[in-house]
Amino acid sequence: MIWILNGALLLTLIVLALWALKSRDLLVSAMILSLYSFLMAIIYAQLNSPDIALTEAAVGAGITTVLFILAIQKTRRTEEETDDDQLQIGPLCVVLTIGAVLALAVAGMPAFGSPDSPGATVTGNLYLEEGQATTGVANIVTAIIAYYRSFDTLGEITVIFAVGIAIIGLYLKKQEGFDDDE
Amino acid sequence: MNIIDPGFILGHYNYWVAIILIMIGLYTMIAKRNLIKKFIGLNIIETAIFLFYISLGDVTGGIAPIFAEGSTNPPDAVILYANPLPSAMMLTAIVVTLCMTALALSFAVLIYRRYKTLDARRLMELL
Repeated sequence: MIWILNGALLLTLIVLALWALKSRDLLVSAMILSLYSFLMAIIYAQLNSPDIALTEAAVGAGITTVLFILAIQKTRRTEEETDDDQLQIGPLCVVLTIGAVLALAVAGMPAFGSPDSPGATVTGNLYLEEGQATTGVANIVTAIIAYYRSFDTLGEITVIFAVGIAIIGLYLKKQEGFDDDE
Repeated sequence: MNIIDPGFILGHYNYWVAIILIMIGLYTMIAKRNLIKKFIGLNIIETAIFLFYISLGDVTGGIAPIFAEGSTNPPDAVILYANPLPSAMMLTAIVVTLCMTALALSFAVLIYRRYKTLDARRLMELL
């Protein structure tokens, strides 16, 4: 019966995404995005990925929302008056085409959660069989991040560093060139 | 494989939801003119992609890839574990998404300070 709960959560996700799309108030959109991320975290926990669920709840529902609220506070809360409320044919066609291509790709995949799907194959999985002996960590996701794919994690930290430098540089440059701009 | 088969449709429901969310996010990015609204659409696309990957790694009746205390190695063949690799890759992706959102929003704030608008069409006229 757990799939009923799962289905209800997934339907709620779609409703929330549509609401965030429709709302003219950006603050409302940001808060709905936070709720959406939190529900997504519950689904991740349901799908046996507690690490992702924790990170999504902290980063997706927490820090991202704070960033959006900060940006909205420094700009304006409502959208400007535009005519993008009604359905636009051009973007809709593009989106439907891409959706059809993705649906065709998914249709060729094995069913969700089936034990013989390549993504879920456990026998012969090196990480699960040797991870604990090699690294001494009980949580295999941690072992992969910090040991097997540690260069990946280094790259991730480099990205954080570069973005921090870029944001500092953007705001410093703005203050220096203040007289030219105004 | 019959496309109309209800078992086929229900068996992929996580994937269908991920595709619908990607479509909603993409529509938000293309059709909406407010920059912050576009970034909200970008976030929706990314969480949908995470959902897709996590669904790939899950296995029915499996448990999270964390060994119980005292469990020996190799793990019991009886216990099914979810694949840990998608989780590990998506952990990296979540942080990169956060960085991208932060950079995009700081650009939006700077654009608003200079041009007093976040409407993409008006910005194209001003530039």
